Amino acid sequence: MNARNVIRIVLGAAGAAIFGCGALSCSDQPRVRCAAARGNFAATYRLVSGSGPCAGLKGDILAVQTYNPANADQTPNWDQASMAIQPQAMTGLLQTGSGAMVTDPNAEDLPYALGSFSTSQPGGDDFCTVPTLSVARIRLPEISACMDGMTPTGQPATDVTYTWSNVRVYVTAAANGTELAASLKVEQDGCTAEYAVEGLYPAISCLVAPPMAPPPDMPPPNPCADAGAGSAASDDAGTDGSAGDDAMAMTASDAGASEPEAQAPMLPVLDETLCAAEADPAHGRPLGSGISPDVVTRCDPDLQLCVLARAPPALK
Amino acid sequence: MRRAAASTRCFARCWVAMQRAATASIPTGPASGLALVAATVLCSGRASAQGDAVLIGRVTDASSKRPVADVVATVTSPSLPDEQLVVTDSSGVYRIPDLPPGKYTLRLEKDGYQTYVRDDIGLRADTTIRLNAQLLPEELKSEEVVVIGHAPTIDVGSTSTGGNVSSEFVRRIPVAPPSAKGAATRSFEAVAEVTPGAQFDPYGVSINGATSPENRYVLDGMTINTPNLGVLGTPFSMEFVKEINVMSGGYMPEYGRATGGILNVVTKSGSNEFHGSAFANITPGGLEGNRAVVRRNGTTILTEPSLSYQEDIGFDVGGPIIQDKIWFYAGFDIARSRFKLRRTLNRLVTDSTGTPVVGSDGFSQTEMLPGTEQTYYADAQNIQMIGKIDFAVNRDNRLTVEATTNPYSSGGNGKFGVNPLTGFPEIGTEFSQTTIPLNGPYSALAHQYAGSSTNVLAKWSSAWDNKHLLWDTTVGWFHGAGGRTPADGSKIGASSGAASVPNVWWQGTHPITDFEGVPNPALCDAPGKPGSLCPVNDYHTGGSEFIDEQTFNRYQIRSILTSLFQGAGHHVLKVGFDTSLDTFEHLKAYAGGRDLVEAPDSSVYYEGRQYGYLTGPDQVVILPTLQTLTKSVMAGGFVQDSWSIMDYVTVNAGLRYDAQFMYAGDGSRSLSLPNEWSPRVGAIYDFTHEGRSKVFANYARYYEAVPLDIMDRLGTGEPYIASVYDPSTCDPRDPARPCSSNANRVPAGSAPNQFWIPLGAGKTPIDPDLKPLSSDEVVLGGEYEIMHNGRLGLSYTKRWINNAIEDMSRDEGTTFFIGNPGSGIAKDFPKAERNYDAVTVYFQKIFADEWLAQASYTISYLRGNYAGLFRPEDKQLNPNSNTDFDLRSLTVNRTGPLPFDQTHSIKLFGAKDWNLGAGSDVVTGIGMRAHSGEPTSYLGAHPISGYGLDQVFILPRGEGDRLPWIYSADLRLGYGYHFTRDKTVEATIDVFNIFNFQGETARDQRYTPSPVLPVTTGGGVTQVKNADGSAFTGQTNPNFKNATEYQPPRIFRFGLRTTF
Repeated sequence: MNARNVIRIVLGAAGAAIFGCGALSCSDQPRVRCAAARGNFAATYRLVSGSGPCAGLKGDILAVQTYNPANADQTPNWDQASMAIQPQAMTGLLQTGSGAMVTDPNAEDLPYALGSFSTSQPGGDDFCTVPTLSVARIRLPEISACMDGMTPTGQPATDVTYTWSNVRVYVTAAANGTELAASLKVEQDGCTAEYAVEGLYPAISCLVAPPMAPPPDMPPPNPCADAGAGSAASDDAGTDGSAGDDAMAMTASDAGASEPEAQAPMLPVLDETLCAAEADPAHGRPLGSGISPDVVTRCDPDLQLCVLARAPPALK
Repeated sequence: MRRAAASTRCFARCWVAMQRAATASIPTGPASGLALVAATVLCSGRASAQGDAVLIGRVTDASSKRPVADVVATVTSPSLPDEQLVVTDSSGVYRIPDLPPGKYTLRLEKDGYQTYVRDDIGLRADTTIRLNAQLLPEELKSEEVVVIGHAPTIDVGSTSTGGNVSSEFVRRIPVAPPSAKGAATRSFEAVAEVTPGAQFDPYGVSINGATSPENRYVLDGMTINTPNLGVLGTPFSMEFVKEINVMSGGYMPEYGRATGGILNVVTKSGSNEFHGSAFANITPGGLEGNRAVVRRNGTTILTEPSLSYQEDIGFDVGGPIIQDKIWFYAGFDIARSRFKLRRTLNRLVTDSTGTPVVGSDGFSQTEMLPGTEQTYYADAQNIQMIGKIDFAVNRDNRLTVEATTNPYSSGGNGKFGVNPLTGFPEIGTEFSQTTIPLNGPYSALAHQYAGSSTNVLAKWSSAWDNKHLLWDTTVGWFHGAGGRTPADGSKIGASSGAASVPNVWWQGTHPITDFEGVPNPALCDAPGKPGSLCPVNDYHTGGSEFIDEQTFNRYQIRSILTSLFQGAGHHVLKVGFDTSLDTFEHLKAYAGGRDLVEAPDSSVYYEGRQYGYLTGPDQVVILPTLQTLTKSVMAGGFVQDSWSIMDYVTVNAGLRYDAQFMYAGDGSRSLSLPNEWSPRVGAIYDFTHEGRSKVFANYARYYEAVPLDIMDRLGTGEPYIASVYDPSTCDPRDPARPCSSNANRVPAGSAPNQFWIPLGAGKTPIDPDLKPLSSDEVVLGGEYEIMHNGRLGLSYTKRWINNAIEDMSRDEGTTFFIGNPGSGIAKDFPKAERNYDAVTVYFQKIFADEWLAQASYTISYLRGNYAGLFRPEDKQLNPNSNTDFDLRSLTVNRTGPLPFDQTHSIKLFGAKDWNLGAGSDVVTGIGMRAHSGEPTSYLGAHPISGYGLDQVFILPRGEGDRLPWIYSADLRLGYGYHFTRDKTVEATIDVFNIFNFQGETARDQRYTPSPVLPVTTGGGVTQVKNADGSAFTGQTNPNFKNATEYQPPRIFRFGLRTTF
């Protein structure tokens, strides 16, 4: 090989290495795959239409999960995803029923809605969409008072349906599925209401913790104890009474120091700084809220949760 | 065909001229000189290669002081199979590149002048030595002029700092102490520690404050870092190495992809004479000095490791296959190590009230339970082979083909393994010094480590135009295999053996008798508290935990074009490209598909590690194994010019470009790091004009080559799944109560899942504005030759990091992304900082006149919040995805003196050969080191589980007391007998740590195992608070500030060598 050819080869290869990249647009990082953050979202419900008892919902905590199907070799297919939403309201119904040993007799009823993302990657607006989801429904028979030995009020039979649609999840590298917007139709016992939903992950309380929590070894008095619903807990409270005496003693002691406040109804104290992404160890917040520092939040007085201050993407 | 014939004729003419020049009687006649010049211009010799040295100089007329053109400059050396020659240009300058390190003789010839000969010119790898000469006109004298003097030793061509370690140095100085990684084979990396600014770290040698995976290891021009972790892939024995050049900084654009140092290794070659050697070394553990025992408070299990032996035996041989045409070199070495692990069970000593007795030293007193002493061994074996052929195709073209392979194995058959990453037995403390060593049975702790690394390379060198145009191309393949498999030989994913049994980590407090038989279990009982005198709360049972098999390849091509030309001085212009493809295939699993963990309060069991994911609510897919194939493409080019103005000043300037693209397991491009522009500019001033001094300054930017580990884990997506089990219905020790069905799972899943908790998402998102990890450096310094072959130098280095690449979470650990702390979408994280300042005073006297010396004192300052590609506190080696920046709450109090901040470091080495006559000689060599202690910190647990222990800096980093100064003195004594000039027998004794100093080299920095807040308000550790901000009520670690490691004890190494 002569010198001239060698020069051509080396210069050509060096040049290709340097300038070839520009032609290939290789500075782009891969786009994020569609997914919703896994965990609890603090969601506000804005009434769009409807009236009745189910039209007064202010919001909820939504348990959200993202799922991926399996490839032929059983590895996960990250390019396809589905998401499920289970509102706290549904979880609460299940727990109430479970405590009373009552379950939904309809095997087809599920407390969550499940649907697939329509695309692998977010669109130009950084949103991924789940156009339709399965219907979440719970039908519980009547629960009588103190049926679970704890709940003094019963619960009539109920049939609740949540229909989610057009779930739009904001997905970027910085905010990986942490904000969502959706349409929701709630049907409960003949009442129908439609809402516009905006959710923020994670669900963080902005309620200031009470200054003194009851000691863990002092269970609160059982309101069903006098009703004779014979659980072990009520037996203890009814026959021994020591825990109740201790609790009373503690209350009396507190009352001696601040009796007027003890008599007045406790108003919730909210603190927006609890929504802050920045930790504040000096004020008892060793960790940040977990909410992205880019997000504009507010403390919702009804939900007592940090929620989006405006529609997604609610960015500073 | 016609070209080939012409080339052959050219070579024939050339060779005749060479022979004539080499054997020409003095004075030479005008005709022969002209013929020689003509032949040389037509058919010049070898081309430049990375790692080789350059000899330059100016030839002037002794009477007129004018430059003399067309002088034939010829060098010969035992290191050089064939002589090399060039002619001086019109300014009298000659430049002979591509010279392997070694001792040279220079001959300058021109008609009308006396021939000039100078010998004993020492050339080191990657250096440029200037040797100016004056020729005497023939009319002044009619005999050959042999210059009695010494050639300069200062590298006037570059600003690089660091140092060279030659085979002459290694033959005389005790290096690679048996405690170091790679000691058994006496790996070049262990030897590189002798250079200023270098110190051992857990995975190799740290240079200029960087971590060892940031170094670039180059073997005869080929990169041999492992593609997955960036550590040294081929721990090549010094027996086969001609010289190492450790470039700490200030290097030119032809070297890149390293933010640490460049360790450039030049292997030996054959020559026209047959030479070889056979050697053997043994380090008997029985002669160890007394070891200081690492004591732990209240520990039932005590394991004391010690060295049983280290030994290696091998040979090398080199010579001609065809004289002056083809040469070979081959070597073989087998090294073995054995560590003894003495394990005992102990019980707490109590007083009459049953209270544990605390001795005056502050430790709870314990006594060994009779009959519980056991001895285990950890074995390792390492074989190294090299074969090399140099082929002088003709005077213009040369081909080198080389292959090395390095199979190793360790563990199995009742023996524990030696972790190849650290070089230490896998007893648990090689990564976490607070772990209780051997806290479980062999089946749960032991593994086999087997693998190999193979390098095959071909290097082609061509030259044209009297070596004014050089082309050097290296094509290489690096192949490696490794991994950690069950000690019983069962295969990953197997349905029987240790690979099929989940490992269980018991964190609750249990009596040792829950797990192991004790001859007299009653000795563990306290009144009313059975077993309480023998507690364990960190114990493993079951199978082999994490196991994996790794295969990696690197295909690389590197080509450099060098042009020498004149233009307002002399220029050496280099243009080149450097491209590689790395692949990493990884089969990984947890034995039995998962690790089970017992909660510290024994309330539940849960899956600590299990590959799997959900396709729908509670629709779980468990992956018994996970297999990934990730790739990285690196492409780069550079241009640089070394411009020598007169003999005074050399200006080096250049620019390097690199781009790296990484591909995830699904084949998609998942990380792009283009536009890595590395400017380098420096200047050297030689005020003696004779190559005996230099004052230099250099600025450089360096970029990291990102190892594939981040693609294997985060880029591909590593899905984990966990569930929680009720201990009333499941017991990992009882096959009748398996922990494997919803019946004994606690409904603790994350809704809508009842039972399953998915952990780890898919592919980790990447900041669209991600910048590569880079560091900038300024080097200033000067050197002066204060004696023959001895130079005194002073240098200042300042190096800092611009950006780091790390994974981070802004939501306290739920979602992660890859970014640059402090910028882009991670702008709310603190910027990664690592600032290194160092001043080094050094003296180096190369081996000549039967002695050598090397001394250095470095005062340095290393501050920041980012150590580098591994995390020294727990030795986490996940380059670019360690936990340092995972959470913002982890970053508090992290800035301070970094773990490798050794303020003072002194290294003294010296050797002298004593000729006793009658063919006998004695070699004496010493090595003395002293350095001040590293900083320590106050560590606590982070409130988020999964981070936990030692992740919180309670006080600002480095607020703890520094470790004490560490001193060591090593000695080599050798006796050699020369049967003939080339046939010798030599016996050596190395004594490491002669005085058996037992300085404390590591300390337990865990103030508390409880979750706490970092103290940001001052007032010291007494201000520490619980994680919820309340007054501290957690446990304090009884072992806090106790030593966890001491210096290796005195040890002897005996060697025997014969050369022929």
